[in-house]
Amino acid sequence: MLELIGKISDLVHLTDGLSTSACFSPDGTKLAIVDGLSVVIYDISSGEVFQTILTSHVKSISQVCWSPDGQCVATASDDFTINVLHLLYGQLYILMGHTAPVISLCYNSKGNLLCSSSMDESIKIWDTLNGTLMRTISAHSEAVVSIDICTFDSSILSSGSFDGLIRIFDTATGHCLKTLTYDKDWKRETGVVPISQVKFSKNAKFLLVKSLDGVVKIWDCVRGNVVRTFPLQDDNDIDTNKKDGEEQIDNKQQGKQLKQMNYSCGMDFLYPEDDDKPPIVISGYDNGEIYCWDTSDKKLLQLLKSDEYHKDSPIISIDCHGSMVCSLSLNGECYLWTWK
Amino acid sequence: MNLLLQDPFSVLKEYPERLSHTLENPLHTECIKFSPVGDYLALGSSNGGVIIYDMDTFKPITVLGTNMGSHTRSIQSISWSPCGRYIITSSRDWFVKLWDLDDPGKNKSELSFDSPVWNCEWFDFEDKLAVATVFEEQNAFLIDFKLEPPTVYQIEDRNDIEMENGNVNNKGYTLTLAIHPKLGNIVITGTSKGWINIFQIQSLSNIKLVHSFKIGNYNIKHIIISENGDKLGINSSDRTIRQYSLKVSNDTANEEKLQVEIDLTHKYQDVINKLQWNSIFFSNNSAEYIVASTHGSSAHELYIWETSSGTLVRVLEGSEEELMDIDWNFYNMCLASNGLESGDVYIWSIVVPPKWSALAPDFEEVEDNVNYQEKEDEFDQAHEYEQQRELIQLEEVEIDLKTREQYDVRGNDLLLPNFTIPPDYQRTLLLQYKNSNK
Amino acid sequence: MIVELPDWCPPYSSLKVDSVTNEDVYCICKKPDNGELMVGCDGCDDWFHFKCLHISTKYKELVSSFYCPYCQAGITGNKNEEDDVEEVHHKTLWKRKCRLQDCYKPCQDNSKYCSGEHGEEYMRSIVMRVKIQGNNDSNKDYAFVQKLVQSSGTADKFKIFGESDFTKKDIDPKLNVELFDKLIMNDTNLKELQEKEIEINQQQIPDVESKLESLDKYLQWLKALNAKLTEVEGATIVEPKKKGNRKKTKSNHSKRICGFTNDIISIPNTDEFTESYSQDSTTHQGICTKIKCAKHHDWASMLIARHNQDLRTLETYSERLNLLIKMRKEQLNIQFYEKLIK
Repeated sequence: MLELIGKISDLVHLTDGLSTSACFSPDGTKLAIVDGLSVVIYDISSGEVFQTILTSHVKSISQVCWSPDGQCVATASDDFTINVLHLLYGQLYILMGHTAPVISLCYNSKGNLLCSSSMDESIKIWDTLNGTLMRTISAHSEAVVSIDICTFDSSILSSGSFDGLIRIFDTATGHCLKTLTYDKDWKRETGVVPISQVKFSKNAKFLLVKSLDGVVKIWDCVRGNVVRTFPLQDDNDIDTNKKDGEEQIDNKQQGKQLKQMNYSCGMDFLYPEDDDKPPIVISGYDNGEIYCWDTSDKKLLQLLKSDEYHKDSPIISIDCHGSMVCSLSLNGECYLWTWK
Repeated sequence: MNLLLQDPFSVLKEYPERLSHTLENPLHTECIKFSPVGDYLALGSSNGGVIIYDMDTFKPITVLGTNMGSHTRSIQSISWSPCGRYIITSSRDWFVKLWDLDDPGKNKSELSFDSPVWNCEWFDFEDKLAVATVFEEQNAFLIDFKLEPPTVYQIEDRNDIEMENGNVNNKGYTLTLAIHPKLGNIVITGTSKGWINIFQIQSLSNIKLVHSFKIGNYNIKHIIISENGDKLGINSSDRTIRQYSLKVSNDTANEEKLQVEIDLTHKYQDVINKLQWNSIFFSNNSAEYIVASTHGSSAHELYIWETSSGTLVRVLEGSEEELMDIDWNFYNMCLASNGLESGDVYIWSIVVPPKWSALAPDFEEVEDNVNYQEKEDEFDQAHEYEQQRELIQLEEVEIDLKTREQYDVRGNDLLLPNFTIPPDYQRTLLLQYKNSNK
Repeated sequence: MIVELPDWCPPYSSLKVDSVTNEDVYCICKKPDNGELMVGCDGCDDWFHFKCLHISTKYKELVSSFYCPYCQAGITGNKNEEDDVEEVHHKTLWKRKCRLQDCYKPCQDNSKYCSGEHGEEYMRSIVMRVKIQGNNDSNKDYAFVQKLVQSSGTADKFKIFGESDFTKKDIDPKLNVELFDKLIMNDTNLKELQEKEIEINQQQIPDVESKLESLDKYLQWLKALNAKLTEVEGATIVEPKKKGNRKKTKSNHSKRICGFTNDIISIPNTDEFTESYSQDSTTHQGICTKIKCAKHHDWASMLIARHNQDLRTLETYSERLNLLIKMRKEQLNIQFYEKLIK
């Protein structure tokens, strides 16, 4: 169960509509939150703002991301650039090259490569030590909204895009290794859903994917099939534990009014400290609700309603570190939870 | 993980085939060494600088000794610790220096001999022991880095019968050495008079000469041993590479004593031009292949032979100059070699072509055009129903999101702890400052 | 470029007078002047209604030189018969309109506005659009910009407003002593850098310098020793030509011992050394006395090179540390100001 540790937005004043991303540092001691055009670094143990870093962006920031050694943060902005900032010394680089707002960022596990994806339908790989562009991968036909590299195995990069494709690339050569979904479904009109978020599991063999209709799925990367589906409570006609196959399929074909989310909301895996317990998927939605599912039996373990905490504002970012979870909504409310 | 998703036939090639990169080094490169997992390449230059290149970006990331304590003469050898964090370098300026890559600005510790040091290798990393060979010294040395300053011991058998008799058989100066990969306490040394000595080092005071034989009257330039300890390769100044099968086992009668069997299996010679061999290297595991570079201004290639039959299987082309030192890393299947004139480093690797069938879930690569023939159940309605049922059943299968693969498809151990060299932010800041002040 | 007649324009007719009413007829519609707004063509002197030509009447003040569709197509309007028909292409030219969005008056000379008032009006609208982060009231923003302009005085000063590197200058602690102490004085990172710099300048560099000095002394002694030995030996024995070591002298009788030793500080007595020296042993009193020593070849210049390199690298390291201290201070100043204004 998620237990509230603290409300960060009491101490850090976040602007409504401009706080779009929150991320734990790799050692779990700090939290980086985007506030307008600067990044606030919050120290969790002391409960105070550790530092405010000014970026050189002129338009709003979409995502912030820590480097693996915890000394730098990188921000992606709508002004087509990426800023790499050192906590102690200030700005290191401005990475320019994208021709449309940069949406998503991630570092590889060694910290020498930074991958970014943008609305110009491309993914760019940058060399962070020299601040230069190494490679451009263009393999989508719509904005690429989410990329992820597994922390333990940085040889593959996954990307999810509004064109409905989930692709896996080789970070070293930039070649596409696998595509998990189609971008045209010949059988049903509503077969293709835009993807809003992708996230690797710890061993890089499974991919957690959220699409814009709110459905969260876990894909097996090697075999290329779905191994878990987590629907929303609304489509509750389906009791997935039922053994009667016919009834289930009927309901699936019926309950087809596709919800369309407006925001690409956050989600993450949570690995409980007790090794025996299976990992948990925590996902946020447009209406301010947070769902927690068990990955082994797909049971909904907890549902945090929107009225108490995030007040109906879309949960724009969820990040997990160990058993700590940070949830941030668009109206500037930020909470710190722990999983017990 | 990316290897799992690629075409197994191209990924599992046993040796690299194409020149993929050239690293330019304005300071002439003398020796090269990959880190244990192949993510960094250390280059030793002729003026004493050691530069480490990142294999992801092919750009230099660190220079050892920028704050203090760099070498002043040409680097002769570089050796990485198994975790990839410590490097020992030896140079013609008589020094052996130990570097900690967490703080590459100054060396952690250094040791001076009385003359240029040829080879220096990590012997036992747990105990911080290294072995080195020095110019005009009869014995190799064992260096203990645990204490400060490091202490040195000569590798010689005090109980050598011949020595006792006062009949010190002059075996020449020890030029080179190699450490047995499987039995960690065996060191094989080669001398200037063609003697091969095999020592067993059980502790600092207990060094035994297990076997000694003479293969001729010439300098031994290189000794290499295959990863599984089966094969021994010796490069000597009589322009021949000799390949031996090596077997070290415990003596049946006396468990303390070791029995060594060495048999000559092949000789590799350049029959046409009688050129000297510059450097040799075995391939991984049981050393199915041996690669060598030749001396001479007309020879610009690396030759690869099959060790079982002794036949030449491949010639690696691409460089336009004589190649000197060779290093082969098995994690990323790259062969690196430095050129004599330009000092550049050439890297050959396996190039896997992009798979076009990766662009959609059900694309398959075919050799020829196939006429489309509709399957019987292509448009069956019930088929769809069954598919859905299957999908639902799949969701009941247990999944493991946490455990990582131990070995990759090439058999390399993926869970080895490997050190990431911390990025040198100071250098970036300095460059920026200089640029902004122009 | 040949401009064709637009679709709505009827073909040319040179009718100037109505046959029935005998009134002058104008325009493409060939109707008499009924008071509607008309524009005169500079090419054929005929008059045309704005409406017929599909031009909005609000542009009436912006016409600079007008050519009717027939003149633009080259059908009429060649006042100068000498000009070649194909080459003269008349085109309607317009005046630039006032920058203010809804004003269609022409601009004044060298101005972007039709009048001074419109100029001010335009600037006012720009300032109204300024949105300053943190202020939710647009009036406040406006007042803020006013203050900025007034405090700068001249237009030039206003342009360079904000360019001063105030974050790079040292802060006056009096602004907020407590905050200053907490942030800047106690910053561990800054302290580390400063300490290292002091260590280098006060300890390590003098260290290396003294080493160089003592090496120099030793080498001079060695030179003198060699000279003495040569004297002693050279007088009695004719030495065969010796190709000396790194000091290439062509002297046939010179004696050059290697001179390598691990201890260059304690220099033995020259006379004692010479007396007890014998050609047979290779070391004497801890000094290598081989003549053509391959093992210790070039040891002196190597040692000098090493010390010089150490000196150089230490100096650059010191410079680098200086730079880092500057940058760190700037970051801390930014933090200080941020916290001050909160």
